[in-house]
Amino acid sequence: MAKEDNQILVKDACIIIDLIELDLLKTFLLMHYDVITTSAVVSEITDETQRLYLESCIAKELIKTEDNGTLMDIMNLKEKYRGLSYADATVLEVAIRKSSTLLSADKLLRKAGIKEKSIVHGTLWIIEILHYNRIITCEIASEKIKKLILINKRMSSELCFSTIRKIEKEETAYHLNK
Amino acid sequence: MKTEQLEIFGARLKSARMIAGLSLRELSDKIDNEVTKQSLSKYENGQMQPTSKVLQSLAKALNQKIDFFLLNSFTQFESISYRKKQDLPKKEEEAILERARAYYENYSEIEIILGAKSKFINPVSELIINGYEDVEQAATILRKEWDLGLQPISNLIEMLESVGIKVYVIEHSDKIDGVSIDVENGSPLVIINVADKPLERIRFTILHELAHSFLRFSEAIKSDSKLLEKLCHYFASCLLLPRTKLLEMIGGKKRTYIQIEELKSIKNFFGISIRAIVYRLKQIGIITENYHKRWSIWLNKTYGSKNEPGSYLGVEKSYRFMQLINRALSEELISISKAAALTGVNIQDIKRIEPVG
Repeated sequence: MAKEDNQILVKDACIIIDLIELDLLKTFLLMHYDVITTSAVVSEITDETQRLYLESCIAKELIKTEDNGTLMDIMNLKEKYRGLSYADATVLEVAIRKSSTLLSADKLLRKAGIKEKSIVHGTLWIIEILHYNRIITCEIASEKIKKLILINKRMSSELCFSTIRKIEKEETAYHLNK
Repeated sequence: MKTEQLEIFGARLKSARMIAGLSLRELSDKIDNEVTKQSLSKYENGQMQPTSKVLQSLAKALNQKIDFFLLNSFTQFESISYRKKQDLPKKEEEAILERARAYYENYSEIEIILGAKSKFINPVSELIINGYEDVEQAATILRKEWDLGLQPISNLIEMLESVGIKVYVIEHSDKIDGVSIDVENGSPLVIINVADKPLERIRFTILHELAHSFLRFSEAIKSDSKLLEKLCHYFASCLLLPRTKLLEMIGGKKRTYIQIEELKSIKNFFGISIRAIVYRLKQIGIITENYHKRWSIWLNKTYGSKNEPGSYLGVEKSYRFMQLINRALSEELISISKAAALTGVNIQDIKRIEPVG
Protein backbone atom coordinates (compact mmCIF):
# COMPACT_ATOMS: atom_id res chain seq x y z
CA MET A 1 0.00 0.00 0.00
CA ALA A 2 3.02 2.34 0.40
CA LYS A 3 3.59 4.68 -2.50
CA GLU A 4 6.14 3.47 -5.01
CA ASP A 5 8.28 6.14 -6.58
CA ASN A 6 7.82 7.06 -10.24
CA GLN A 7 4.74 4.90 -10.57
CA ILE A 8 2.72 6.04 -13.57
CA LEU A 9 -1.04 5.92 -13.31
CA VAL A 10 -3.45 6.20 -16.23
CA LYS A 11 -6.99 7.28 -15.50
CA ASP A 12 -10.30 6.88 -17.24
CA ALA A 13 -13.25 9.30 -17.13
CA CYS A 14 -15.26 7.28 -14.58
CA ILE A 15 -12.56 7.45 -11.94
CA ILE A 16 -11.87 11.12 -12.60
CA ILE A 17 -15.58 11.89 -12.16
CA ASP A 18 -15.70 9.76 -8.99
CA LEU A 19 -12.74 11.63 -7.50
CA ILE A 20 -14.09 15.07 -8.44
CA GLU A 21 -17.51 14.23 -6.99
CA LEU A 22 -15.85 12.91 -3.81
CA ASP A 23 -13.71 16.06 -3.70
CA LEU A 24 -10.61 13.87 -3.63
CA LEU A 25 -8.95 14.58 -6.98
CA LYS A 26 -6.61 17.33 -5.79
CA THR A 27 -5.95 15.43 -2.54
CA PHE A 28 -4.93 12.39 -4.56
CA LEU A 29 -2.70 14.47 -6.79
CA LEU A 30 -0.76 15.48 -3.65
CA MET A 31 0.63 11.93 -3.71
CA HIS A 32 2.87 13.04 -6.60
CA TYR A 33 2.31 10.08 -8.84
CA ASP A 34 2.81 10.64 -12.54
CA VAL A 35 -0.84 10.81 -13.45
CA ILE A 36 -1.78 10.56 -17.09
CA THR A 37 -5.00 10.67 -19.00
CA THR A 38 -5.89 11.17 -22.67
CA SER A 39 -7.64 13.96 -24.57
CA ALA A 40 -10.43 11.55 -25.47
CA VAL A 41 -11.08 11.01 -21.74
CA VAL A 42 -11.05 14.75 -21.06
CA SER A 43 -13.66 15.26 -23.78
CA GLU A 44 -15.91 12.75 -22.02
CA ILE A 45 -16.26 15.03 -19.01
CA THR A 46 -19.27 17.03 -20.11
CA ASP A 47 -20.17 18.70 -16.83
CA GLU A 48 -18.81 22.25 -17.19
CA THR A 49 -17.62 22.63 -13.57
CA GLN A 50 -15.93 19.22 -13.55
CA ARG A 51 -14.32 19.91 -16.90
CA LEU A 52 -12.91 23.27 -15.80
CA TYR A 53 -11.62 21.65 -12.64
CA LEU A 54 -9.90 18.90 -14.61
CA GLU A 55 -8.50 21.39 -17.10
CA SER A 56 -7.05 23.43 -14.23
CA CYS A 57 -5.27 20.27 -12.99
CA ILE A 58 -3.94 19.70 -16.50
CA ALA A 59 -2.83 23.35 -16.81
CA LYS A 60 -0.89 23.00 -13.54
CA GLU A 61 0.61 19.77 -14.89
CA LEU A 62 -0.79 17.79 -11.98
CA ILE A 63 -2.28 15.54 -14.64
CA LYS A 64 -0.68 15.08 -18.04
CA THR A 65 -2.47 14.24 -21.25
CA GLU A 66 -0.81 11.75 -23.51
CA ASP A 67 -2.00 11.19 -27.06
CA ASN A 68 0.97 9.55 -28.71
CA GLY A 69 -0.73 6.23 -29.40
CA THR A 70 -1.30 5.42 -33.05
CA LEU A 71 -4.84 5.30 -34.30
CA MET A 72 -4.20 1.76 -35.53
CA ASP A 73 -3.17 0.50 -32.06
CA ILE A 74 -6.22 2.13 -30.49
CA MET A 75 -8.53 0.70 -33.15
CA ASN A 76 -7.04 -2.76 -32.71
CA LEU A 77 -7.79 -2.62 -28.99
CA LYS A 78 -11.27 -1.35 -29.72
CA GLU A 79 -11.81 -4.26 -32.07
CA LYS A 80 -10.41 -6.74 -29.55
CA TYR A 81 -12.69 -5.40 -26.81
CA ARG A 82 -15.87 -4.43 -28.66
CA GLY A 83 -17.60 -3.31 -25.48
CA LEU A 84 -15.04 -0.57 -24.89
CA SER A 85 -15.29 2.96 -26.22
CA TYR A 86 -12.60 4.83 -28.10
CA ALA A 87 -11.74 6.76 -24.93
CA ASP A 88 -11.40 3.49 -22.99
CA ALA A 89 -9.13 2.11 -25.71
CA THR A 90 -6.88 5.20 -25.56
CA VAL A 91 -6.42 4.71 -21.81
CA LEU A 92 -5.71 1.01 -22.23
CA GLU A 93 -3.24 1.71 -25.04
CA VAL A 94 -1.26 4.14 -22.84
CA ALA A 95 -1.29 1.69 -19.92
CA ILE A 96 0.08 -1.08 -22.16
CA ARG A 97 2.64 1.09 -23.96
CA LYS A 98 3.97 2.68 -20.78
CA SER A 99 3.59 -0.47 -18.64
CA SER A 100 1.73 1.70 -16.18
CA THR A 101 -1.01 1.11 -13.66
CA LEU A 102 -4.52 1.50 -14.98
CA LEU A 103 -6.90 3.39 -12.72
CA SER A 104 -10.47 2.80 -13.70
CA ALA A 105 -13.89 2.76 -12.09
CA ASP A 106 -15.28 0.71 -14.95
CA LYS A 107 -15.48 -3.06 -14.57
CA LEU A 108 -15.10 -3.93 -18.25
CA LEU A 109 -12.09 -1.66 -18.75
CA ARG A 110 -10.51 -3.10 -15.62
CA LYS A 111 -11.06 -6.63 -16.96
CA ALA A 112 -9.43 -5.65 -20.27
CA GLY A 113 -6.51 -4.10 -18.36
CA ILE A 114 -5.99 -7.33 -16.40
CA LYS A 115 -6.09 -9.34 -19.65
CA GLU A 116 -3.42 -7.06 -21.04
CA LYS A 117 -1.32 -7.75 -17.92
CA SER A 118 -1.61 -4.24 -16.51
CA ILE A 119 -1.87 -3.52 -12.81
CA VAL A 120 -5.42 -2.29 -12.29
CA HIS A 121 -6.90 -0.31 -9.42
CA GLY A 122 -10.16 1.50 -8.77
CA THR A 123 -11.59 4.32 -6.66
CA LEU A 124 -11.57 2.27 -3.45
CA TRP A 125 -7.84 1.63 -3.82
CA ILE A 126 -7.26 5.39 -4.08
CA ILE A 127 -9.21 6.02 -0.88
CA GLU A 128 -7.30 3.23 0.84
CA ILE A 129 -3.93 4.59 -0.23
CA LEU A 130 -4.88 8.12 0.84
CA HIS A 131 -5.74 6.77 4.26
CA TYR A 132 -2.71 4.49 4.48
CA ASN A 133 -0.46 7.46 3.82
CA ARG A 134 -2.38 9.45 6.45
CA ILE A 135 -3.53 12.05 3.94
CA ILE A 136 -7.13 11.49 4.98
CA THR A 137 -8.45 10.21 8.30
CA CYS A 138 -10.25 6.93 8.81
CA GLU A 139 -13.53 8.84 9.33
CA ILE A 140 -13.16 10.77 6.08
CA ALA A 141 -12.24 7.61 4.18
CA SER A 142 -15.35 5.92 5.52
CA GLU A 143 -17.54 8.94 4.71
CA LYS A 144 -16.14 9.12 1.14
CA ILE A 145 -16.78 5.43 0.53
CA LYS A 146 -20.38 5.78 1.73
CA LYS A 147 -20.81 8.74 -0.64
CA LEU A 148 -19.28 6.67 -3.45
CA ILE A 149 -22.10 4.14 -3.11
CA LEU A 150 -24.57 6.97 -3.70
CA ILE A 151 -22.88 8.54 -6.72
CA ASN A 152 -21.84 5.32 -8.44
CA LYS A 153 -24.75 2.91 -8.41
CA ARG A 154 -22.66 0.33 -10.23
CA MET A 155 -20.29 0.09 -7.27
CA SER A 156 -20.67 -3.05 -5.16
CA SER A 157 -21.87 -1.85 -1.74
CA GLU A 158 -20.61 -5.13 -0.25
CA LEU A 159 -17.10 -4.36 -1.48
CA CYS A 160 -17.41 -0.78 -0.22
CA PHE A 161 -18.34 -1.86 3.31
CA SER A 162 -15.62 -4.51 3.40
CA THR A 163 -13.12 -1.79 2.40
CA ILE A 164 -14.40 0.42 5.26
CA ARG A 165 -13.84 -2.48 7.68
CA LYS A 166 -10.36 -3.05 6.23
CA ILE A 167 -9.48 0.64 6.69
CA GLU A 168 -10.80 0.61 10.28
CA LYS A 169 -8.72 -2.49 11.04
CA GLU A 170 -5.63 -0.88 9.56
CA GLU A 171 -6.30 2.27 11.62
CA THR A 172 -6.48 0.23 14.83
CA ALA A 173 -3.27 -1.63 13.99
CA TYR A 174 -1.56 1.67 13.18
CA HIS A 175 -2.44 3.16 16.59
CA LEU A 176 -1.45 -0.02 18.43
CA ASN A 177 1.97 -0.03 16.75
CA LYS A 178 2.60 3.64 17.46
CA MET B 1 -6.69 1.87 -42.31
CA LYS B 2 -7.50 -0.53 -45.13
CA THR B 3 -9.33 0.75 -48.24
CA GLU B 4 -12.69 -0.53 -47.00
CA GLN B 5 -12.16 1.03 -43.56
CA LEU B 6 -11.18 4.31 -45.20
CA GLU B 7 -14.37 4.31 -47.26
CA ILE B 8 -16.49 3.60 -44.19
CA PHE B 9 -14.71 6.34 -42.28
CA GLY B 10 -15.33 8.74 -45.18
CA ALA B 11 -19.03 7.94 -45.24
CA ARG B 12 -19.26 8.40 -41.48
CA LEU B 13 -17.45 11.73 -41.61
CA LYS B 14 -19.84 12.96 -44.30
CA SER B 15 -22.78 11.74 -42.24
CA ALA B 16 -21.55 13.67 -39.17
CA ARG B 17 -21.02 16.76 -41.29
CA MET B 18 -24.60 16.52 -42.58
CA ILE B 19 -25.95 16.13 -39.05
CA ALA B 20 -24.10 19.33 -38.17
CA GLY B 21 -25.42 20.95 -41.35
CA LEU B 22 -21.97 22.16 -42.40
CA SER B 23 -20.36 22.44 -45.82
CA LEU B 24 -16.78 21.23 -46.31
CA ARG B 25 -15.62 24.86 -46.24
CA GLU B 26 -17.55 25.59 -43.02
CA LEU B 27 -16.10 22.49 -41.36
CA SER B 28 -12.58 23.45 -42.39
CA ASP B 29 -13.17 26.93 -40.93
CA LYS B 30 -14.56 25.44 -37.73
CA ILE B 31 -11.36 23.49 -37.10
CA ASP B 32 -9.34 26.67 -37.79
CA ASN B 33 -8.18 25.31 -41.14
CA GLU B 34 -6.22 22.55 -39.40
CA VAL B 35 -7.01 20.67 -42.60
CA THR B 36 -8.14 22.17 -45.89
CA LYS B 37 -11.49 21.73 -47.57
CA GLN B 38 -9.69 19.60 -50.19
CA SER B 39 -8.27 17.26 -47.53
CA LEU B 40 -11.68 16.93 -45.91
CA SER B 41 -13.07 15.97 -49.29
CA LYS B 42 -10.34 13.34 -49.63
CA TYR B 43 -11.23 11.94 -46.19
CA GLU B 44 -14.87 11.72 -47.21
CA ASN B 45 -14.00 9.96 -50.45
CA GLY B 46 -11.88 7.38 -48.62
CA GLN B 47 -8.66 8.61 -50.26
CA MET B 48 -6.88 9.78 -47.11
CA GLN B 49 -6.77 9.01 -43.40
CA PRO B 50 -6.70 11.73 -40.74
CA THR B 51 -4.23 11.70 -37.88
CA SER B 52 -5.69 11.01 -34.44
CA LYS B 53 -5.22 14.70 -33.59
CA VAL B 54 -7.26 15.78 -36.63
CA LEU B 55 -9.84 13.14 -35.79
CA GLN B 56 -10.26 14.68 -32.35
CA SER B 57 -10.66 18.14 -33.81
CA LEU B 58 -13.26 16.85 -36.27
CA ALA B 59 -15.18 15.07 -33.50
CA LYS B 60 -15.20 18.23 -31.40
CA ALA B 61 -16.25 20.47 -34.28
CA LEU B 62 -19.01 18.08 -35.33
CA ASN B 63 -20.13 17.42 -31.75
CA GLN B 64 -19.70 13.66 -32.08
CA LYS B 65 -17.81 11.09 -30.08
CA ILE B 66 -14.80 9.62 -31.89
CA ASP B 67 -16.55 6.26 -31.61
CA PHE B 68 -19.04 7.52 -34.19
CA PHE B 69 -16.33 7.76 -36.85
CA LEU B 70 -14.70 4.44 -36.05
CA LEU B 71 -17.69 2.13 -36.24
CA ASN B 72 -16.65 -0.53 -38.75
CA SER B 73 -19.79 -0.41 -40.88
CA PHE B 74 -22.02 2.11 -42.59
CA THR B 75 -25.71 1.35 -42.88
CA GLN B 76 -27.09 1.75 -46.38
CA PHE B 77 -30.64 2.96 -46.90
CA GLU B 78 -32.30 1.23 -49.85
CA SER B 79 -35.52 3.16 -50.32
CA ILE B 80 -36.91 6.13 -48.48
CA SER B 81 -40.55 7.18 -48.38
CA TYR B 82 -41.43 10.56 -46.90
CA ARG B 83 -44.48 12.20 -45.48
CA LYS B 84 -43.25 15.79 -45.54
CA LYS B 85 -43.96 19.22 -46.90
CA GLN B 86 -42.27 20.50 -50.03
CA ASP B 87 -40.62 23.36 -48.16
CA LEU B 88 -38.58 21.11 -45.83
CA PRO B 89 -35.05 22.39 -46.54
CA LYS B 90 -32.72 19.80 -48.08
CA LYS B 91 -30.13 20.35 -45.33
CA GLU B 92 -32.70 19.62 -42.60
CA GLU B 93 -33.90 16.54 -44.45
CA GLU B 94 -30.34 15.21 -44.73
CA ALA B 95 -29.63 15.92 -41.06
CA ILE B 96 -32.77 14.01 -39.99
CA LEU B 97 -31.80 11.00 -42.11
CA GLU B 98 -28.22 10.97 -40.82
CA ARG B 99 -29.35 11.23 -37.18
CA ALA B 100 -31.70 8.33 -37.78
CA ARG B 101 -28.87 6.35 -39.37
CA ALA B 102 -26.68 6.99 -36.30
CA TYR B 103 -29.49 5.85 -33.99
CA TYR B 104 -30.03 2.73 -36.09
CA GLU B 105 -26.32 1.89 -36.04
CA ASN B 106 -25.96 2.40 -32.29
CA TYR B 107 -29.04 0.25 -31.78
CA SER B 108 -27.63 -2.47 -34.04
CA GLU B 109 -24.24 -2.29 -32.29
CA ILE B 110 -25.75 -3.03 -28.88
CA GLU B 111 -27.88 -5.82 -30.40
CA ILE B 112 -24.74 -7.40 -31.89
CA ILE B 113 -22.80 -7.13 -28.62
CA LEU B 114 -25.66 -8.83 -26.77
CA GLY B 115 -26.35 -11.34 -29.53
CA ALA B 116 -29.90 -9.99 -29.58
CA LYS B 117 -30.12 -8.88 -33.19
CA SER B 118 -33.78 -8.57 -34.07
CA LYS B 119 -34.71 -10.11 -37.37
CA PHE B 120 -37.67 -8.67 -39.20
CA ILE B 121 -39.84 -11.08 -41.13
CA ASN B 122 -42.56 -9.53 -43.24
CA PRO B 123 -45.61 -11.81 -42.92
CA VAL B 124 -47.39 -10.11 -45.83
CA SER B 125 -44.55 -10.01 -48.33
CA GLU B 126 -46.37 -12.42 -50.66
CA LEU B 127 -49.72 -10.64 -50.59
CA ILE B 128 -50.27 -8.38 -53.59
CA ILE B 129 -52.39 -5.39 -52.63
CA ASN B 130 -55.01 -4.50 -55.23
CA GLY B 131 -57.49 -2.62 -53.07
CA TYR B 132 -59.11 -1.99 -49.69
CA GLU B 133 -60.03 -5.64 -49.03
CA ASP B 134 -56.41 -6.74 -49.50
CA VAL B 135 -55.27 -4.05 -47.07
CA GLU B 136 -57.80 -5.28 -44.54
CA GLN B 137 -56.52 -8.84 -45.04
CA ALA B 138 -52.91 -7.73 -44.60
CA ALA B 139 -53.81 -6.06 -41.29
CA THR B 140 -55.62 -9.20 -40.14
CA ILE B 141 -52.61 -11.39 -41.02
CA LEU B 142 -50.25 -9.04 -39.18
CA ARG B 143 -52.43 -8.97 -36.07
CA LYS B 144 -52.40 -12.78 -36.08
CA GLU B 145 -48.68 -13.19 -36.83
CA TRP B 146 -47.70 -10.55 -34.27
CA ASP B 147 -49.98 -12.05 -31.58
CA LEU B 148 -52.00 -8.89 -31.16
CA GLY B 149 -55.43 -10.50 -30.82
CA LEU B 150 -58.27 -7.99 -31.10
CA GLN B 151 -57.19 -5.68 -28.31
CA PRO B 152 -55.90 -2.09 -28.67
CA ILE B 153 -52.16 -1.72 -29.28
CA SER B 154 -51.16 0.11 -26.12
CA ASN B 155 -47.63 1.17 -27.11
CA LEU B 156 -47.31 0.88 -30.88
CA ILE B 157 -43.62 1.86 -30.97
CA GLU B 158 -42.68 -0.80 -28.42
CA MET B 159 -44.80 -3.39 -30.24
CA LEU B 160 -43.11 -2.64 -33.57
CA GLU B 161 -39.67 -2.84 -32.01
CA SER B 162 -40.56 -6.23 -30.55
CA VAL B 163 -41.16 -7.53 -34.10
CA GLY B 164 -37.91 -6.06 -35.39
CA ILE B 165 -38.95 -2.66 -36.75
CA LYS B 166 -36.93 0.27 -35.40
CA VAL B 167 -38.63 3.57 -34.69
CA TYR B 168 -36.64 6.78 -34.36
CA VAL B 169 -38.56 9.56 -32.64
CA ILE B 170 -37.78 13.20 -33.50
CA GLU B 171 -39.18 16.58 -32.55
CA HIS B 172 -39.13 18.82 -35.59
CA SER B 173 -41.17 21.54 -37.25
CA ASP B 174 -44.45 20.49 -38.88
CA LYS B 175 -42.66 20.32 -42.24
CA ILE B 176 -42.21 16.62 -41.72
CA ASP B 177 -44.51 13.91 -40.31
CA GLY B 178 -42.64 10.69 -40.86
CA VAL B 179 -40.24 8.71 -43.01
CA SER B 180 -40.13 5.03 -43.79
CA ILE B 181 -36.80 3.47 -44.74
CA ASP B 182 -35.83 0.06 -46.07
CA VAL B 183 -32.40 -0.79 -44.76
CA GLU B 184 -29.99 -2.97 -46.73
CA ASN B 185 -29.68 -6.32 -44.90
CA GLY B 186 -31.54 -4.95 -41.93
CA SER B 187 -34.89 -4.32 -40.33
CA PRO B 188 -37.08 -1.42 -41.50
CA LEU B 189 -36.68 1.97 -39.88
CA VAL B 190 -39.44 4.50 -39.29
CA ILE B 191 -38.77 8.11 -38.35
CA ILE B 192 -41.65 9.82 -36.60
CA ASN B 193 -42.02 13.48 -35.72
CA VAL B 194 -43.91 13.77 -32.43
CA ALA B 195 -43.70 17.54 -31.93
CA ASP B 196 -47.09 19.08 -31.10
CA LYS B 197 -48.99 16.09 -32.45
CA PRO B 198 -51.75 14.16 -30.71
CA LEU B 199 -50.88 10.54 -29.96
CA GLU B 200 -53.48 9.11 -32.30
CA ARG B 201 -51.96 11.05 -35.18
CA ILE B 202 -48.46 9.82 -34.28
CA ARG B 203 -49.69 6.22 -34.22
CA PHE B 204 -51.48 6.65 -37.51
CA THR B 205 -48.46 8.21 -39.23
CA ILE B 206 -46.12 5.42 -38.08
CA LEU B 207 -48.37 2.76 -39.60
CA HIS B 208 -49.01 4.81 -42.73
CA GLU B 209 -45.26 5.00 -43.29
CA LEU B 210 -44.83 1.30 -42.60
CA ALA B 211 -47.50 0.49 -45.17
CA HIS B 212 -45.36 2.23 -47.79
CA SER B 213 -42.42 0.15 -46.71
CA PHE B 214 -43.76 -3.36 -46.47
CA LEU B 215 -47.08 -3.71 -48.28
CA ARG B 216 -46.60 -5.07 -51.79
CA PHE B 217 -48.82 -2.87 -53.94
CA SER B 218 -49.77 -3.90 -57.46
CA GLU B 219 -48.37 -1.87 -60.35
CA ALA B 220 -51.85 -0.39 -60.97
CA ILE B 221 -52.01 0.94 -57.39
CA LYS B 222 -48.44 2.21 -57.55
CA SER B 223 -49.29 4.27 -60.61
CA ASP B 224 -52.18 5.97 -58.77
CA SER B 225 -50.43 7.95 -56.04
CA LYS B 226 -53.67 9.31 -54.57
CA LEU B 227 -55.14 5.84 -54.14
CA LEU B 228 -51.82 4.57 -52.81
CA GLU B 229 -51.90 7.19 -50.06
CA LYS B 230 -55.51 6.33 -49.22
CA LEU B 231 -54.66 2.63 -48.95
CA CYS B 232 -51.73 3.39 -46.64
CA HIS B 233 -54.14 5.43 -44.48
CA TYR B 234 -56.55 2.55 -44.53
CA PHE B 235 -53.87 0.08 -43.48
CA ALA B 236 -53.08 2.22 -40.42
CA SER B 237 -56.75 2.30 -39.55
CA CYS B 238 -57.22 -1.47 -40.03
CA LEU B 239 -54.22 -2.40 -37.89
CA LEU B 240 -55.13 -0.01 -35.09
CA LEU B 241 -58.77 -1.05 -34.99
CA PRO B 242 -59.72 -4.60 -36.04
CA ARG B 243 -62.86 -4.82 -38.15
CA THR B 244 -64.47 -7.37 -35.81
CA LYS B 245 -63.99 -5.09 -32.84
CA LEU B 246 -65.30 -2.04 -34.69
CA LEU B 247 -68.41 -3.91 -35.76
CA GLU B 248 -68.90 -5.16 -32.20
CA MET B 249 -68.67 -1.64 -30.80
CA ILE B 250 -70.76 0.14 -33.44
CA GLY B 251 -73.23 -2.70 -34.13
CA GLY B 252 -72.95 -4.82 -37.26
CA LYS B 253 -75.88 -3.21 -39.08
CA LYS B 254 -76.07 -0.17 -41.34
CA ARG B 255 -76.34 3.07 -39.39
CA THR B 256 -78.02 6.30 -40.43
CA TYR B 257 -77.11 8.23 -37.29
CA ILE B 258 -74.05 7.97 -35.07
CA GLN B 259 -73.43 10.03 -31.96
CA ILE B 260 -70.08 11.70 -31.42
CA GLU B 261 -69.87 10.10 -27.94
CA GLU B 262 -69.81 6.62 -29.52
CA LEU B 263 -66.87 7.57 -31.68
CA LYS B 264 -65.06 9.28 -28.83
CA SER B 265 -65.16 6.12 -26.75
CA ILE B 266 -63.77 4.04 -29.66
CA LYS B 267 -61.06 6.65 -30.20
CA ASN B 268 -60.09 6.77 -26.55
CA PHE B 269 -59.95 2.99 -26.33
CA PHE B 270 -58.13 2.15 -29.59
CA GLY B 271 -56.02 5.27 -30.04
CA ILE B 272 -57.30 6.09 -33.50
CA SER B 273 -58.75 9.38 -34.75
CA ILE B 274 -62.48 9.92 -35.21
CA ARG B 275 -61.90 10.86 -38.85
CA ALA B 276 -60.20 7.50 -39.46
CA ILE B 277 -63.04 5.65 -37.72
CA VAL B 278 -65.72 7.40 -39.78
CA TYR B 279 -63.82 6.75 -43.02
CA ARG B 280 -63.54 3.09 -42.06
CA LEU B 281 -67.27 2.90 -41.32
CA LYS B 282 -67.94 4.21 -44.81
CA GLN B 283 -65.49 1.75 -46.35
CA ILE B 284 -67.07 -1.30 -44.71
CA GLY B 285 -70.56 -0.12 -45.59
CA ILE B 286 -71.90 0.80 -42.13
CA ILE B 287 -72.57 4.40 -43.20
CA THR B 288 -73.22 5.84 -46.64
CA GLU B 289 -70.80 7.95 -48.64
CA ASN B 290 -73.15 10.89 -48.20
CA TYR B 291 -73.30 10.49 -44.41
CA HIS B 292 -69.50 10.25 -44.29
CA LYS B 293 -69.26 13.51 -46.22
CA ARG B 294 -71.68 15.23 -43.82
CA TRP B 295 -69.64 13.97 -40.87
CA SER B 296 -66.40 15.28 -42.36
CA ILE B 297 -67.89 18.69 -43.06
CA TRP B 298 -69.36 18.89 -39.55
CA LEU B 299 -66.04 17.88 -37.93
CA ASN B 300 -64.05 20.42 -39.95
CA LYS B 301 -66.57 23.18 -39.28
CA THR B 302 -66.83 22.46 -35.56
CA TYR B 303 -63.24 21.55 -34.64
CA GLY B 304 -61.11 22.75 -37.57
CA SER B 305 -59.35 20.52 -40.08
CA LYS B 306 -56.66 19.31 -37.64
CA ASN B 307 -58.55 18.98 -34.38
CA GLU B 308 -61.34 16.77 -33.12
CA PRO B 309 -62.98 15.85 -29.81
CA GLY B 310 -61.89 13.02 -27.51
CA SER B 311 -58.46 12.27 -26.17
CA TYR B 312 -56.38 9.13 -26.30
CA LEU B 313 -54.20 8.96 -23.21
CA GLY B 314 -51.68 6.28 -24.10
CA VAL B 315 -47.90 6.16 -24.15
CA GLU B 316 -45.81 5.96 -27.28
CA LYS B 317 -42.24 5.32 -26.33
CA SER B 318 -39.46 2.90 -27.07
CA TYR B 319 -37.84 1.30 -24.05
CA ARG B 320 -36.02 -1.54 -25.78
CA PHE B 321 -32.84 0.33 -26.74
CA MET B 322 -32.20 1.54 -23.19
CA GLN B 323 -33.16 -1.88 -21.84
CA LEU B 324 -30.46 -3.46 -24.03
CA ILE B 325 -27.92 -0.85 -22.90
CA ASN B 326 -28.72 -1.53 -19.24
CA ARG B 327 -28.55 -5.26 -19.80
CA ALA B 328 -25.16 -4.99 -21.50
CA LEU B 329 -23.90 -2.84 -18.61
CA SER B 330 -25.20 -5.29 -16.03
CA GLU B 331 -23.64 -8.24 -17.86
CA GLU B 332 -20.40 -6.23 -18.12
CA LEU B 333 -20.41 -6.47 -21.89
CA ILE B 334 -19.98 -2.73 -22.41
CA SER B 335 -18.19 -0.07 -20.42
CA ILE B 336 -19.90 3.00 -18.98
CA SER B 337 -18.05 5.11 -21.52
CA LYS B 338 -19.34 2.92 -24.37
CA ALA B 339 -22.88 3.19 -23.01
CA ALA B 340 -22.46 6.97 -23.00
CA ALA B 341 -21.16 6.90 -26.59
CA LEU B 342 -24.06 4.76 -27.81
CA THR B 343 -26.81 6.69 -26.07
CA GLY B 344 -25.50 10.24 -25.98
CA VAL B 345 -26.14 10.25 -22.22
CA ASN B 346 -23.44 11.66 -19.90
CA ILE B 347 -21.17 9.26 -18.04
CA GLN B 348 -22.33 10.77 -14.72
CA ASP B 349 -25.95 9.98 -15.54
CA ILE B 350 -25.17 6.41 -16.61
CA LYS B 351 -23.31 5.84 -13.34
CA ARG B 352 -26.40 6.91 -11.45
CA ILE B 353 -28.67 4.37 -13.14
CA GLU B 354 -29.34 1.66 -10.58
CA PRO B 355 -28.52 -1.79 -11.96
CA VAL B 356 -31.35 -4.30 -11.76
CA GLY B 357 -30.96 -7.21 -9.34
